[in-house]
Amino acid sequence: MNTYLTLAAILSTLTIAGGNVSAQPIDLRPPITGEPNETTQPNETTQPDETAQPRESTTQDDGEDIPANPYAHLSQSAEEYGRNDEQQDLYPEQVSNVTKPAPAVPFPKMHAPHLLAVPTGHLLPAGVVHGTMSLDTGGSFGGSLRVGLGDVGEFGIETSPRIRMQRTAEDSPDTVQPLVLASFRMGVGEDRLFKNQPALALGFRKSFSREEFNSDIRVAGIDLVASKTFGKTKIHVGGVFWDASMTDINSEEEVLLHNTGTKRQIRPFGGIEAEPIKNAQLLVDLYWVPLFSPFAQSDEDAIKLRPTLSWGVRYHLSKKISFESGVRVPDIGEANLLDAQIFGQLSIASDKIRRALGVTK
Amino acid sequence: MPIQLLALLAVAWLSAPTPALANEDDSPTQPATSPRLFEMPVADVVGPYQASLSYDGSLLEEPGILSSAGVAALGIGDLAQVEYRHTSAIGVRGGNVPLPAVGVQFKLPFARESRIPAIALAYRLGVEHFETLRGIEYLEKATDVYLVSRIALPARFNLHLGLRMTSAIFKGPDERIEETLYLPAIGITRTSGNTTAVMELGRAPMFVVDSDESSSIDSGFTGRLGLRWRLHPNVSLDASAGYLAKESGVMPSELLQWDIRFGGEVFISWGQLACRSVSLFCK
Repeated sequence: MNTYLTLAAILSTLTIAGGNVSAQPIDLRPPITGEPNETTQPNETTQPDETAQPRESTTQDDGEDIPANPYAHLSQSAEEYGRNDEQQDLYPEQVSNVTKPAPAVPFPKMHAPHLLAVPTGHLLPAGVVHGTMSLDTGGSFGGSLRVGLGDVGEFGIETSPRIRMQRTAEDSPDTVQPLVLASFRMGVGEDRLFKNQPALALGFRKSFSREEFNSDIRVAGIDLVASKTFGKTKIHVGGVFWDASMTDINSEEEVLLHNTGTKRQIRPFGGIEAEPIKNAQLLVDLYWVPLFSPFAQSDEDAIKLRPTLSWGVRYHLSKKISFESGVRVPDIGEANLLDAQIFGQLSIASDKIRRALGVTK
Repeated sequence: MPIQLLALLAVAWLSAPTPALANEDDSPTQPATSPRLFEMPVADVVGPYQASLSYDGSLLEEPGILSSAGVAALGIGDLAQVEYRHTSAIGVRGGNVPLPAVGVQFKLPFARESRIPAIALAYRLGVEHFETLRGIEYLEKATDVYLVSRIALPARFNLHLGLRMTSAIFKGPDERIEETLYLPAIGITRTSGNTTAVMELGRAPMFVVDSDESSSIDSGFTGRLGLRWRLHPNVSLDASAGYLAKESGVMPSELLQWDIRFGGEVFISWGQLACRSVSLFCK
């Protein structure tokens, strides 16, 4: 866990340090002193001369009146920024504390890094943290926490409600949870390399070991996905290469998916994302996930990839928060709608680390 | 441990906007250079009056066991560094084991702007590392002479070529084996802004215990693909996916041998700190 402590320490240190973490050298010049002038920038601190005394209105040589309060325009500026009367009365000793706020950095344009089940070719912007929480009518929960790295990478931890185990021949498959996976994705955004280039992402995910029904299971997968925007519609197409293992805890007998042939490991996937009205999207996707069957007599039946179909809607409550709801059929190969689950998912993004790091583009 | 890490980061923070030289002249700030890709050393040294501490870790390669790689390097002038490094190897349990080594690296004095590739030679004295398999403790050790070069390519690509001459020692309860291995490595980087994409591939010593408890030293492949994001002149984050291939081929035999590592690197301008604290190295 030292790695994660290291990450936490780095991020907390950077956050504490606030805006001084940009790659530019820190400006150690003394603050501007004396009377403010028109060239004063909004984010510069104006510092009055401590020896200056309040004076009556006088007339300059050119006939222009000098106001009795040389900082009156700062009070006006404060009014413009909506400060209250008490703050606007700063004069002249307190006026040094009046600093116009820097213009707010807008939340970066962000595409969701996933549809309902499938990953997309889009990556999180640098320094943006994205978290999800989901719950379905079967009581399964899921969650993820991702962080964008330098606009070309993404690191995340997730727990998926889609990977299942069928314990006996008579039972229906149940979700294996919590099965925690770490993921790392690299890629390039849309139109980054050349015009009409789709967004591309190469992702790798691997689970921690999970003990379930006297079996120790692990999964790992590589996916390559391309995403292209056509007006209000986005198409996501890709392929996934899965591997999985299931080890009997008592006999230490191990079943490996890759021992059953490469063809059984590779599957295509895809999805469509349409935005018929602003801030609301219709989503449909097809993905493949491993199904474990410890009772099976052959390796081919013990670990299989099964197709999962999901459809639903995503509503953007704000730029940072969205809510998704829909239906998930965990195995459309079985055509068993009784196993279908209705789910809800909340997604929240934060750019606080991004702003603390001084990433502005 | 978190307190130590915070203290370390605080020290790095204090030394942040400082020139490479300890004096505060008007020379442009020369950023410190990382002494590694992920596991592969590079020809560049960390820099004068600079130190680098880096660490990548993973809990995935062997479930429940933290696999890792780290480097601590201290720049001595423009052309040398002393270092404590985890060198790459495949251990008896099949995972990537960090074999510790203490070393020194010298870089040939070619200007960075010249078209001559950067070339460095390092000697790393292996430190004993113990690993337990089926209740038996095995000693693993590797002492290296490493020749490495960096060649600048168009479009901000850099090609890194290395040759590691390893004297590997493997000692079990009954036998002691020593082998000399020649292990090539290649790495490619491309920097865009403050992000560098890194790919590396190389052979590493592999310590093998067969089912009949007989021991041997062979070599396997390790590879990593990832990125380094320079958050700040003194701090960077690493994330990568990597694999081990124990067989003769380059491709991994199974995807479960892959892992994901996450880590970071902190640069400390020790010359600046020494100048401020005890007035040493202040010109």
